[in-house]
Amino acid sequence: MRAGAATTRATTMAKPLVPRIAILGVIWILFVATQSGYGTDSNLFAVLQGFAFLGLMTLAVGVTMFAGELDLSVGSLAAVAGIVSVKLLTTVPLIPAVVLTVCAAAAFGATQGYAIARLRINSVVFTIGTMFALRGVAFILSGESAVLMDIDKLDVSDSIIQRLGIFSPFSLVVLAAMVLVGGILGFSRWGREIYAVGGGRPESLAAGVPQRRPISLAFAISAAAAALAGVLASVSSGSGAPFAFENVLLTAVTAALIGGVGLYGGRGNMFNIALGALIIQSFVAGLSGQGATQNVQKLATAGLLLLAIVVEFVTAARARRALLRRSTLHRTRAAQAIEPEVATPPPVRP
Amino acid sequence: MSTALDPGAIEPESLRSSLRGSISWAAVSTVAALGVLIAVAAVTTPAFATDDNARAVVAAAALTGIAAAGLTFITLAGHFVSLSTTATAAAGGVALAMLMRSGWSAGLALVATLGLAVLAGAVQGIVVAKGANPIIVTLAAAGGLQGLTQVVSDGKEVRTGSTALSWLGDPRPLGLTMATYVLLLIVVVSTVYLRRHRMGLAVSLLGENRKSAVATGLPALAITITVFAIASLCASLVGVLSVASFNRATVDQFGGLTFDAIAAVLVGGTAIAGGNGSPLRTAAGAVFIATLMNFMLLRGWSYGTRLAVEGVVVVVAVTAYHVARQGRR
Repeated sequence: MRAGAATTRATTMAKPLVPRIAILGVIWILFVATQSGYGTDSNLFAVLQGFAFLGLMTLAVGVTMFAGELDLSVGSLAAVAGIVSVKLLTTVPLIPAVVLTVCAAAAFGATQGYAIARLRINSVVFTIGTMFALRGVAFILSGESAVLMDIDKLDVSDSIIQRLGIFSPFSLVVLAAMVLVGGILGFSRWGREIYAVGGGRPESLAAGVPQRRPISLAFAISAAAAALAGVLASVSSGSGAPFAFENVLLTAVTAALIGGVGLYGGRGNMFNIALGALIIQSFVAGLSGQGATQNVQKLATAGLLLLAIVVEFVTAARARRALLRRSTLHRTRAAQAIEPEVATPPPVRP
Repeated sequence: MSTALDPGAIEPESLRSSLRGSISWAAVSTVAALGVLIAVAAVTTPAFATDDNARAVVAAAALTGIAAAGLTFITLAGHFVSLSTTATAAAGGVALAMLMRSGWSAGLALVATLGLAVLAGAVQGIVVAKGANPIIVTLAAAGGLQGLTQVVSDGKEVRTGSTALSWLGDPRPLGLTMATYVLLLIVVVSTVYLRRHRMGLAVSLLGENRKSAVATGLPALAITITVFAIASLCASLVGVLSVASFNRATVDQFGGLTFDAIAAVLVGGTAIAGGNGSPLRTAAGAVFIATLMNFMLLRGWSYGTRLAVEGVVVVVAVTAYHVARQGRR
């Protein structure tokens, strides 16, 4: 058996979930113990509502991170989608409006991804531009102020966030979307291609993996997820605002990183994304329950990110040392094969 | 493994092109584009070609330009971008205002604020040099700085309670703001430093090809700390200059500064992969964007249209520079 042989399924390459589930558990225990309202059904519902939005945005940036890229335009796209859907609702019922907007966004995302792949340009610099451009489009479409839904359509808004136990149609749709995208990523050829180009771009090129398809797909998914988030959030709140979702980008990136999505590409899965969003949402909900302001919440989230960096660093250092030990073993055995008299066999691990 | 978030691992361009710097075709094309824009604007829009308007454009470009010039150092060294620009600027402004309000003399408060900024930058630089990704580090630093600033200022506006900084905020030599001269000074000093000083040259070399630079013994740690400290210093200068002009500061200032600065760096043509570019080009990029926005404003275009055009310009600029660089290999 070759030393260091490992399966290459994306799920086994994901960063460990257990410590992160533990962190989530600690956060919950801490807040349930110190706040009377935290463990209630209504709080759980509120956390899941927040998680629904953040989870979709984290999915959006996360999928592009799997492909080794980063889509910075998700916030602006969500704003545009929110405005478009609110306007569509004046003539079209809810489900077609959502589907239309999400499909249009996916088409835009695929185009953006194709351009990035074809030009072989850095997606960060490209999407900074599209981020600005889409934000401008949001202002143009909305006439520079929030677009309000008709009063008689407000029952549609309410229907999205009606309570179904601790869930709502909003959070259930998001969970379904995560399962769907997770299935595509983990079990289909297209999903494997995304991880391949993310995990090693030159290597995947050499191995014959198509480059443009997975990147276009990743950006199409990110656009669709961002649009869905924008649509659901805007419709449920009754208005689409051009200045909305400006800060969510960085929170989503933080959530992805805390959840264990690898920043350099090719590592992570839907559990990492969901966990990351859940950790941040639970944490922020608990903090605001303690009366902490937005900026203090930012400070605390930054602290969580720092913790994640440190944990990351320590485990990576340990993994490097383990790899070094194993490769030394490998070299010694190879030397043995060439000159058995000279090389001293070390204690052999089967 | 080369990815969008680790440009240091991307293949380097030719060393010759990066060392020729501001005399290269690319810098010429940036300035030429600016010239064309100014010419078109002057011909089509009478209100554009006035002294007052020119001063307004330059004033608008100056603050972003200062932050972007500092950011250029990080990009040149191959450490991509900093996402903590806004937070550092706001923190700098609030720190200065609070110190002066507590009775510190203007000079001492200034030195202390800039010193704190250098420290904040150095800390980020150390963590990045140890192997952490600059996006994560600066993201965390931004959150940390913003939260700290919020806590310290209690979320309220901080007034300096004195006019001791009026020498920095009020004068208008030749009708230009002091910020403009600060930007000019930074650009001149940076250009000399990056082209002549041993450490400055090392910055570009580190960005050009990190592995070779480290292998040949360049002090990667010192370089990284330096570039992050410089970027942090420049960002805090934005806050300082704002306080000098308005004598007040809040934690929520400079909201768009992070991405505006990055846009200026990109439009100026500094390569995101590192090693190629200069603060001069970044300043030109900042002026280009400010000129464009001013031109559109004078023509009565709506805010949304102006923003959309700015975005398209960034996309076109980065694509053009990218394609041109590919072609030169």
